[in-house]
Amino acid sequence: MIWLRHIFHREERSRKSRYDARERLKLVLVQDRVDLDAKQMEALKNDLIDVVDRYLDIDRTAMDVSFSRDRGSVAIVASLPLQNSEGRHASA
Amino acid sequence: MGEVIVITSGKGGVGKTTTTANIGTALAMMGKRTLLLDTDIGLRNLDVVMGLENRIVYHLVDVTEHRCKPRQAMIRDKKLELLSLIPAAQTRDKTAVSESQMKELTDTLREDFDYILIDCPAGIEQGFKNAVAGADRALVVTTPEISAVRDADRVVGLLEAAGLPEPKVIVNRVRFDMVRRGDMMTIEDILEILAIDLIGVVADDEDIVISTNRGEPIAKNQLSAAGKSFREIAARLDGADIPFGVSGMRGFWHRLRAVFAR
Repeated sequence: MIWLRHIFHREERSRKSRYDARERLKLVLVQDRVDLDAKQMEALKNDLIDVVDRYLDIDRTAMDVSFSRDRGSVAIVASLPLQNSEGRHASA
Repeated sequence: MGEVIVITSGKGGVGKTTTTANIGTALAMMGKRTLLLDTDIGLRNLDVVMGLENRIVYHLVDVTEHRCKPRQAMIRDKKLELLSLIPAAQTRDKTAVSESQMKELTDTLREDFDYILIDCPAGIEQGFKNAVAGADRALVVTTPEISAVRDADRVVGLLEAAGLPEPKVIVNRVRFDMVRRGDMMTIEDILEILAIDLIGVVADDEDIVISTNRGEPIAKNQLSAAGKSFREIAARLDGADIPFGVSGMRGFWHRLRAVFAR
């Protein structure tokens, strides 16, 4: 799960095992709930980005796609900042 | 009319049987007529945890197959007058009892007791279905480990599907020293993930092993912290509002409740 590792990259080395347990558990519960394995979820995430990317120029370095989970429901939460969108607005 | 409460976990080895024995003991100490029902057919253990293994005459399957009356299968606790146990059968399997038989049995038994605690087998198959069939409420026992919490989450979903919404969780075998070091999930972590109400936290305590060795539930031990935890769980189960002793937990808990009440 490269994208998830990316999110936590900053704290990866120093963080306590409690956080590993918590994040791994959350992810595995989402997988249990939606009945997709890690590979399928990664593919879903990439497909989702590709579709948006067909219409809009996404800043791939700043994007964040994750699965959030509450009792009874799972949601895909995607933050896909657009490339140079702020700059263009400022110059207009 | 008594209440039927099932104690589940999904995963084995998290302390379901010990929890059942101790909550039952504590309820009886509170003056409640309490019956423990071991539904782990083929792997019975509640009798040994209670120290009653030498007194078994009839078992659960003898009752459901009408070889004896429920009364005849009940073993009175060594000291507590109000506490009884119906042991599981050891030489049969989970299919020896059906869900409708369990429901019928608990409905008969609830007339004579304030609380009937059902010790559910591990797993989510027939044994689980039997154990929850007659229950009004459910408790889920977990430990601060990924595997146990994952299975607890699965069980919470299955309990909801079985018409037992809002089970309460007992977090067992907490090592507070490891929690402080950041090497064990906190109670807050577990509650956030499971999104259900807490009813108690029990520390990992070697006195529990010692008391189980002796067949004397630790709830009887007034000097033990774990014993106190079990007595508090019993009191909360009976409706008492006892604050949670672990610092920070209560504040977090109210915030969490507020989030889910929306």
